[in-house]
Amino acid sequence: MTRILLADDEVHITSLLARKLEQNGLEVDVAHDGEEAWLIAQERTPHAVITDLQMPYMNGVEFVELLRANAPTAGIPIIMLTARGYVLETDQADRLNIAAVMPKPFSVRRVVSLLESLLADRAGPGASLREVA
Amino acid sequence: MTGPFQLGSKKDPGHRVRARCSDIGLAVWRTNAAGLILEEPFGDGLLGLWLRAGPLGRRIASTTSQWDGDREPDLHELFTGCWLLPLAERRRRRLVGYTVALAFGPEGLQQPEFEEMCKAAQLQSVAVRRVMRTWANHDKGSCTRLLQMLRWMYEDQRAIAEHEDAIETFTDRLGNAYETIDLLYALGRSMNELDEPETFLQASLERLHEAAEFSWAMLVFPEGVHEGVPTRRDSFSAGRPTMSFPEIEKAARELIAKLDRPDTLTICSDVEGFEPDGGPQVVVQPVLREQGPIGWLLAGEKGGNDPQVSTYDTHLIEAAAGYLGPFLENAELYREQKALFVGMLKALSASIDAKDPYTCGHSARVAHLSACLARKIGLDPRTVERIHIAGLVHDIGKIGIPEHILGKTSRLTDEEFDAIKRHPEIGYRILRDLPQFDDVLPTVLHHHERWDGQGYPKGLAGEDIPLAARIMALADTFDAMSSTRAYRPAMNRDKVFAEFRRCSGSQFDPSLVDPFLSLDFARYDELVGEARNLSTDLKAA
Ligand SMILES: [Fe+2]
Repeated sequence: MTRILLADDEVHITSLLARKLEQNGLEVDVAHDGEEAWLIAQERTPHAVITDLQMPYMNGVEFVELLRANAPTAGIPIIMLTARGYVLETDQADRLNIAAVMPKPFSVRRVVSLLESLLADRAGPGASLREVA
Repeated sequence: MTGPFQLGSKKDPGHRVRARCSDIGLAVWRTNAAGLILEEPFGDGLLGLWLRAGPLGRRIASTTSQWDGDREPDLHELFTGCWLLPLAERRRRRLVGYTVALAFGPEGLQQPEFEEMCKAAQLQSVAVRRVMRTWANHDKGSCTRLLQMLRWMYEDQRAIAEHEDAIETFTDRLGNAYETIDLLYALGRSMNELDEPETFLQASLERLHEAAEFSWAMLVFPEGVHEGVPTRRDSFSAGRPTMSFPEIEKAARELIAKLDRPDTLTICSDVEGFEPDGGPQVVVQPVLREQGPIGWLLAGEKGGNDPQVSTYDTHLIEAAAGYLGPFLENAELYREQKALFVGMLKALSASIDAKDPYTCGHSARVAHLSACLARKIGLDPRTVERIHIAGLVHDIGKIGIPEHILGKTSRLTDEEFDAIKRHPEIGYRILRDLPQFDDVLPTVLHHHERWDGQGYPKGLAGEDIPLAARIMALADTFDAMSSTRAYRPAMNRDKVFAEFRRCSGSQFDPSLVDPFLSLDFARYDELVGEARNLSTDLKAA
């Protein structure tokens, strides 16, 4: 089963995304700060990550830097969420190979379909989402 | 579904409590509200056989059927040392059934009733007793306390299930609100892109289709009526419907024609002409301007969990239409203003060209050719449009040159030629104070520069000359060569082409000559014809 790690300190965002992702047949691990997210990522390698930018203990950029330096997660698709007004510099997003930056409030449908296409790309043509794992 | 959770489902609090009872060795039955047994205990081996054998079930059923509707039946001693722990299950305030746990004390295993049951089930009572001994450790007091615990647990589980359900509802609503906000942000952000209304309308439909769970969304305008609408297209559509878009459009027009209130949102069910069999609903929302609807936004074939159109769906469509109305109004005003602006420029330039009967229509033709060349070399539409405007005003400085010089048929004196050479700078000064022409000024000033630096007024060379001015130099010279002038007849096209090739790299930017010569000159020739008729009229008057 394809596993998504979801990191955001705002519970309404995690429940919103987790519910939609689970409805789409994905397994979801939820973390509420960057540090917890990093612990989970080491324990249970995710196939893709959706992370908030502003989080306590460890922010989204620091978390993604760790993911990129860690072999099993170095190449996985990452989507970053940001509060409106906060911008992630384009070169920073490029450097960390972040597939998309979504300002909140975002269209959940768009995040889910984007994630599905990112996973499908990685699985190669013709592979369905559930086969990625 | 009539409530928050399905009875017997994983989210059913009764199910959760029964699972825990089994885990601690209590056999459980489930009945409906009338006390009719619906579920027997699981369990394998001897014990399972004994629990599910007829006699015990019958005794329990005769007890539970007496509870019929009792909202809190008490602990019931089935026989000495054997108790039934009844748990009334409720959904909201309604009694929906009972969960019944069975508890034994050590003396229960010694009773004649126990013996009877084993015998009726054709099981050895010694063997059954041995299996049951480990958990037959209750007494009345412990059963009372256990029952109280189970009741609390059930209430807690019920509250948790209801909260989970509420959270799921909130979450779905929040998701919908996010979709709406995102759609409105997206529409609001591009509302000012009045230049290309078609792009905005198409993008709006795509976003609406994305945000709502409809298979398709469509915007239709009255057929062939383009008054007050800044587009020539009759419809826009997005999505993946089972029918084709032309079929949908046809059915949509028939539907709109039949609406009682075409000026307000309508949810239509079982509409003829829509797939499948008119089954799913179609939402029709007018796009309003002051005088009434100028178009309709439609969406149909709703997918997702609930095929019924919800208030969320209608809010979303209403909100989108709320943006489209003012957008269309602004885009139309903008189009009118732009048409007026360009019209004024055309009138102005035509009146300057008319100072010299031989240059009639020159500016319009230069504008046309410059725009064609700009488009040909891949400049963006906005730049093409600005080059067109520059073409219209490029000779505006001639307003300051005496008519007798411009129209002179004999050879010009050096002084007269110097006067003519001042027209780019005069034009520059005339337009300088109008902010609308900021980007056009360099083109006007430099349209007589040459690639080799031998032009005027500044003698710029190569790429120091702005690209738009280099483009205009070709168009300007082409039109001058192709027209009859006071001092010489028109050259034919082959000769003009040959001249252009010869001057590539000296007078003209060499990279522009080939693209220019490959242009289609049909429209240009039409413009020449129109101007010829006009100048005949002028001469006659
Ligand atoms: Fe000129």
